[in-house]
Amino acid sequence: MMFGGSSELTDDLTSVTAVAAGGGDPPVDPVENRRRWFAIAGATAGIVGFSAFLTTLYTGMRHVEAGGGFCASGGPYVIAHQCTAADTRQVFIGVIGMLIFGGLFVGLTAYADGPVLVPSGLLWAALFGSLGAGFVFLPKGTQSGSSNYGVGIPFLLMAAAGLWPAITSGLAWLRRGGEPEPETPAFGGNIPLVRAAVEAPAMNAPPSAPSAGPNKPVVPKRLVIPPKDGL
Amino acid sequence: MTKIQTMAWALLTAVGGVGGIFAGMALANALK
Repeated sequence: MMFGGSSELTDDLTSVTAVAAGGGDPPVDPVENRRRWFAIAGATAGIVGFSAFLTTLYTGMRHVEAGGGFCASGGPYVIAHQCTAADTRQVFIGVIGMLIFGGLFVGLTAYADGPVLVPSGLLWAALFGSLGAGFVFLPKGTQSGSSNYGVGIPFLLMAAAGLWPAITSGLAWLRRGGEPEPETPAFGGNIPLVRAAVEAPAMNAPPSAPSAGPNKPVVPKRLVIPPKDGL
Repeated sequence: MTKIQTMAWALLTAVGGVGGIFAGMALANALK
């Protein structure tokens, strides 16, 4: 509680320099806080777009699989399964949009000082998991071939690898009891990354006289040159 | 991120991801 006329000024200064973060967090810079909120809003748009375009891609691929898992168009040969314009649009627009919005989501999450590895892994898992499942579990009435499993199972394994960061981070979070990760500097902060293997020479030390000791290497005092006649 | 921002980000990501599926179904239908 403030007495006198300076309380309003003090409150104003407090609101300028920091805003209460809530949830027990220390006050944060308001400019930084605003930047994060804008980034979170953008990341939300990114995940909506990623999900929408991935669904579009999945729909297009699903239709191709229902038609035998292969389609082509153009060229000099007669093609059994012609690609429809809808398949082409859905797959190509789905791939491009998914990549753009996925990058937007991850980039803006990083800009908001949020996690990067776990959401990136989850996007990866969503992409390869949905497509892999689409290859393995075909629409009813579709004849399955070995190529479906040859592609679908590796896709599912790749999706599982994308889940790994989320699983390990989640387990670590549970082990900490929900507490945030402690921020400790590398090697405790007091061990240098690189250390010299030899002692540094003493600077500005007085010159010391050579002493003959038991560990001193034997150096010849005079160099004896052989006579030239013998050559 | 503060705790509130982390929770908001996670919630919006989950809701947006699910909502995007429905948006994608509409988009795929529109691209037919």
